[in-house]
Amino acid sequence: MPTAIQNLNLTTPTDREIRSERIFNAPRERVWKAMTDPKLIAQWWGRGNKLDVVKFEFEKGGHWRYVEHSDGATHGFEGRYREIKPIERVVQTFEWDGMPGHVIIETMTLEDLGDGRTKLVNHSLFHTTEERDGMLNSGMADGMQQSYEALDKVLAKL
Amino acid sequence: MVRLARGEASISELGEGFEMTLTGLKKHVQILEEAGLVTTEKIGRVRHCKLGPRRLDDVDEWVAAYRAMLNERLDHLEDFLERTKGKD
Repeated sequence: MPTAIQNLNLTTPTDREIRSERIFNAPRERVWKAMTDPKLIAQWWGRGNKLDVVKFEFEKGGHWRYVEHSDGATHGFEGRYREIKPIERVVQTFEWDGMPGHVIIETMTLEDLGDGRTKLVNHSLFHTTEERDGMLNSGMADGMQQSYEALDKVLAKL
Repeated sequence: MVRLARGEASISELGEGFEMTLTGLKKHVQILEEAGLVTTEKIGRVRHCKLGPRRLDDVDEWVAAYRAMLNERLDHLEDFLERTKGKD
């Protein structure tokens, strides 16, 4: 049974957030398994492209890395698990090799609808350039300045 | 561009790993420079390249690409679940 019509629900609460809701015609255990078993992930995550699950340390702090092959090109995606609550929630970081340093925090929540269907809520939060540049301009620069001042003091005593 | 995101490089260093002539590569870099994506500076006989003022890592573009990718991925998850129904 096609389920596409009831499924398309993609919103952008802010310009740095994406919230997507999908209802799957499958019990929560099956959806969880499809999302967390590397053999099954390889069958859909690549969007029809060949996918290598290079790393799959499915535990808090564990590293995941997938490589997608399309038209002779390879695209690497990776991140770390921040939170795993079996059959309910996974929080992970997501980075694409082509955008190094742009970390997205993905929260995937599965909700049992009680009628054999499952709702997947996918929330993605982008780390903004503003934040990144801000950190670079203020924090790091200040830190460097402090280090230099400290170094000056040490050198003055020699 | 990905190479330059890791730091400055000369044109010949950029060519490493690509099957492209130096002339072809120079032309490529020139196009990127005109687009503001790359800036170059000639020091001695070597032309050094770095990322320019306009960044390809424009977050809006990345958000849009990611969004399309996510949507496509969820479509494939849905197909997968339909395809494997009753098989487990």
